[in-house]
Amino acid sequence: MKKNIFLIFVAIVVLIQFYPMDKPAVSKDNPNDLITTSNVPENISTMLKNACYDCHSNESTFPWYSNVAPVKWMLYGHISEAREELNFSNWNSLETDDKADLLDDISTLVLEGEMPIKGYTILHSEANLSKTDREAISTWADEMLESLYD
Amino acid sequence: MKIKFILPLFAIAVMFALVSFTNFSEPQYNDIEDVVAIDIPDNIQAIISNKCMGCHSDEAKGGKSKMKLNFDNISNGEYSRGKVISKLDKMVKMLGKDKMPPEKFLAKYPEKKLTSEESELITNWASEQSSLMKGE
Repeated sequence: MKKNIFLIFVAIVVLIQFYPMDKPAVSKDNPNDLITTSNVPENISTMLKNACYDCHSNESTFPWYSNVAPVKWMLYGHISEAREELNFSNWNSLETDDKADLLDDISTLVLEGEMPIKGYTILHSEANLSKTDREAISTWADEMLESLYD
Repeated sequence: MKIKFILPLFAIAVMFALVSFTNFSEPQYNDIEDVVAIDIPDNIQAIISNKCMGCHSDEAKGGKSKMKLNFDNISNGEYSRGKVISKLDKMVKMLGKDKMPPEKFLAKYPEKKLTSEESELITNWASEQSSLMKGE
């Protein structure tokens, strides 16, 4: 009986792997990327790459478990949504007002700890930002926002 | 007769002096570089005091909504210019999508819902003020 349940479970896990789902496209060549096109201080760009770029850019990296259903169902959706909100790879193609809107969000959400999301930082220790890190990102975003309307 | 005439004149002169004195002693926010204090018109202030500032002000209890937008920071020069512009633009965006006050909050406090007139007044003011600040 126990063996049967186990077999059914394995069968289900194997079967759901065949359910088709588009993986978010990955590209390392992004001419409009924020870090490529803007003068971002190195400590900030490192933090952005470590803590944000997996979801908010075209440079997502996919660890093995991220390609296994049912995890991938959730992750692929998350990443597509995150890129729609903010995609650093397209940064320079945005209008000034949209950049301002996003920088204001970055400043607030990172400072108050809403971003990066918990589910991500649990699995990615390098995305665990200290209070000092958060303040640094927030200040950088505020300054960049200010420079937009100079 | 002369005293009756001079006394009121003197009183008026003293009042003028006092008025100009208080004017000088008031901080002139707009003269300080990089500080932008916005005069929110009374009709707009009335709406936001009643319906928005419960969460979006210095006095508000919750931290998150206050961090996202604090109307006191707009009128007292706490926000820098870019910050004010982005907050104003966000107001226009959020009201356009009917996202503020949030649905969950309105379920508890239905009287806080913005009428379409109020929403329009805030939207017009915010977009005008924002264009002005962008120098458009």
